[in-house]
Amino acid sequence: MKYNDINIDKANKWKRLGILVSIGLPIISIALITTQPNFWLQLEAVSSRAFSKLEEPYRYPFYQSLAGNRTLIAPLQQEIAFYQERIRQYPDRALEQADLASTYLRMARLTGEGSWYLLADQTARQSLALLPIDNSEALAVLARVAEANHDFNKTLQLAAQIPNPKEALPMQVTANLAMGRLEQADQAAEQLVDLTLSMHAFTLRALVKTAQGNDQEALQNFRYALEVEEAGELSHSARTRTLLGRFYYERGDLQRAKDFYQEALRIAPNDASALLNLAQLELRQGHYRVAERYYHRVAQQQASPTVFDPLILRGQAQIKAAQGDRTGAETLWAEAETQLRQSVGSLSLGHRRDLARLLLERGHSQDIAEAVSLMAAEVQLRRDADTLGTYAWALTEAKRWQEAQSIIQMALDSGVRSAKLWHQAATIAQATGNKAEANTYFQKVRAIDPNFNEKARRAIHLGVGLGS
Amino acid sequence: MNAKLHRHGILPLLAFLTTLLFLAVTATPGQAHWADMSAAEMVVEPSTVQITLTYPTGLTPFADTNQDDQLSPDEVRASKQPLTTFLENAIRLRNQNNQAGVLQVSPQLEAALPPTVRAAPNTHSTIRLTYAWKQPLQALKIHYNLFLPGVPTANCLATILQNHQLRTVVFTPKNQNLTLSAGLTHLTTGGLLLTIAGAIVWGAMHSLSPGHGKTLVGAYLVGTRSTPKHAILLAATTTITHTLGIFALGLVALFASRYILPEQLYPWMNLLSGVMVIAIGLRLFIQRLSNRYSSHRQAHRHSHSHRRQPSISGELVPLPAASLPGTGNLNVNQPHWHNSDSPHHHQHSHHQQNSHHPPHHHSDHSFHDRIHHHSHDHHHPHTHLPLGPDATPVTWRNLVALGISGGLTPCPAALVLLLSCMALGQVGLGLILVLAFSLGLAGVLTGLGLLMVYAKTLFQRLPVPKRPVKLLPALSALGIVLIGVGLSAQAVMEIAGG
Repeated sequence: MKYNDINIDKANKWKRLGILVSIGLPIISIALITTQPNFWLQLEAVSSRAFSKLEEPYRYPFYQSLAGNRTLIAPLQQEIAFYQERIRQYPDRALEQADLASTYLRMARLTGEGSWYLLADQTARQSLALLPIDNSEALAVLARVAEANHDFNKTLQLAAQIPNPKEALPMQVTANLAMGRLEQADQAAEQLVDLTLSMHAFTLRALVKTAQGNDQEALQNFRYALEVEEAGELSHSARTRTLLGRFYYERGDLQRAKDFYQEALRIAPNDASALLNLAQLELRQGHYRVAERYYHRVAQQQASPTVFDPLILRGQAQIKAAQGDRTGAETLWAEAETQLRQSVGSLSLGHRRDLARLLLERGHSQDIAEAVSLMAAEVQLRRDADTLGTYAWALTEAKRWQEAQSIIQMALDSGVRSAKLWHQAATIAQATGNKAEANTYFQKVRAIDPNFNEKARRAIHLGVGLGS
Repeated sequence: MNAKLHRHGILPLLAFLTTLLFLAVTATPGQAHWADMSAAEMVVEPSTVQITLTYPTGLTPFADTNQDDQLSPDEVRASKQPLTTFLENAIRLRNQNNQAGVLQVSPQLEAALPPTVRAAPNTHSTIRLTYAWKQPLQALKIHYNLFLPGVPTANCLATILQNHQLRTVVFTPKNQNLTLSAGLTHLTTGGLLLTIAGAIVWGAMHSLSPGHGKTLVGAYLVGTRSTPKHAILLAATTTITHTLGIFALGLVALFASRYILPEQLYPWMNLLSGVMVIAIGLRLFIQRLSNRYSSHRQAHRHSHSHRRQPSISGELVPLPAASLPGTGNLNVNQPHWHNSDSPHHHQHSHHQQNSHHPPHHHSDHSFHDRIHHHSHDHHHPHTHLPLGPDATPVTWRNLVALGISGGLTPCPAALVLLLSCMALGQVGLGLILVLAFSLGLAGVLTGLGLLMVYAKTLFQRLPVPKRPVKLLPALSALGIVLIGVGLSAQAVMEIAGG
């Protein structure tokens, strides 16, 4: 009897011990693990591996190397401080001036704030004054500033003077792409890939292939870009994934597009391009509150005016319009219009194309003539498929069907696979009575983007990247 | 007819003017036109501020004598006086005594630009401004008002470099003022004390963030028969190791930065620290588990009565000499030792009313085991407890080793503090601040340790189920092992990740 009691007592004790361990151990473990430094980053890495719908190499593989603070601005500020100090000590060192100019340029592209371009431009000029020959970096900065000002001829002219092809070729790719010279862009991209085999080079070649309508090769190049990805290239890593997201968005694969945008945001949580594209995606799906939140997030992180401001306002106006608040939408469009008008003109960082799109989106009949003239001026500088498409849109609204048809045909001749361009072509064909042609074009639209609908059409020009 | 025309002409004009007024009032700063932008690179030095200013040349047309939208070095020199007068009003810099700095204007570029670059359109000029004061700067008030008149979107992006730190600010017609403090370089006595106090607070606050050995200290102290002295020793050891580690790493960074990067040392120190913690944790776990089993054995082997008063000493309790080995019979007047703080509590009664058990820090388990090989009645409630195999579970060696392992990996924040001061040429200040930082850390760790010790005593007084409490030492030891595993795994991942 006593022996049994002891056994029961023993069993109870073990039971209690088991319960205590099963409750206490997880609690202690959770407390210990969550108080470890870098816990959240490691959790993110694990969750990315476990839950991300993206497979290797599309999923970012270097989470472990990410710092807790992933703002891309702080490291650039440190770099600027370093070079400014060096220049204070050695004011005659042209190459350090060029390095500083290059850092200012990266800051400009990251933040979208125009004044950084001005600093980059002036610092590059100072560098060139000190060292007029063999100063590739300073020339490259000037060429990039010219590109930001949409002076593509000047960009190519300066790029031609750059002795280092690694510096010159990327600009030749982008400037030729903007001017619709796909062959030259392709050649430059091929040379760049042969020369560097870098993530940036493959991404540029992917852009050229996309513009040529060669989707398979474009995807292959995006893949190569991610295969040669290195830790620490945060802005490139985020950008390539954002562009891939755009690629899938344009083809109606919204879930995959979203996955890529979100992966970009995991790498760079404040990436404005990824946020704006996500807002566009949500808007297209009718998730207006979510879209508004993304716009709000981009607007909130800007300390000063940026090139993204009018796009945010246009997106917010579309949300209001879709919700039936026409007055609210008009107010936002008016605000965006004010900003765009101030920035349009020679030597400016604004887009005539953006202003024309705003005027067309708003739908005031009195604005159409201006939209047409803005685009007529713009296509003198830019002749990429997207710009030609906007011109054709303006001509369509002006009911200048023949001109619209010839312009949209020029855009489609590039070979680009774009549902919006085929949709425009179908609309023009329908208006000119070519029903059969219109049906063929509508089929092409469905083949490229099976989900292309009215909401998609309204959100068409609210994306960033891939020529948008 | 005229009146009608007049009316038709006036109304659109009024509408146009109203629109213009509305736009001027409501326009938010947008993407400014290139020609409206300015940029200023400011460098704050002990008693001067250097500004490299790039601005639309149209703002100073009087200096652009050849009207090419560019100020050449000769033009700047020729118009030095009017430029100084104009810019003194547009960009006002004042020190802590509200004294304006003496401004000097000089050209930025002496060399000529190559023809290809000159051909590029440029509407801006760059000049250098130097503001100087007689006294060192302790504060700086900047008033910037160099904008194109009537352009609400005009702005100036200023980068301000001060004590190796860069900050940026955008001056606009609506935001023209900025105040800066001069930083650490010129500290008054009050300022120094304030800085040290700040470092203590920073250290204390920083130690509350993840890591820093809090869990380690807590896990150790909660599971041992620890006293406040032990808590203080553990925190002090951690802090001293931490401070010495930072000094050492700072010196490494200072003298050997060409050969080794301090951040490369971190993972290895983490690994060393982690392995040490695992070893200590395992040792404690085994020790505490064996204590528990031995106490269980005792609990079931005896049920006796010591005719004594319950111990109020709270520490070690003498047992009757009757139970001494070799005595052969029970003699309740012989002392033997119990530890009333041990988690193994079992109650039995003692009839003896003679005295309190004197406190004594001594134990002998073999002896203890042997005295309990008997069975008799106890008539008063009493806690007599098993001791560990070494009879002193809180050993100085354990404490010091654990303290060292907890403080071995220096906190990067403290290292940054030291290196920043070194970079500013304030090595002494750096050492003082790191010491203050570590004192803050020590304060929190000591507080936490004491809390654990006192909370545990309180816990024992509460009518809580005793068995879970008995497991606490073993669980806390297991916790230490887990911390060690976490630290080591993280270090290995860092090392493997390069």
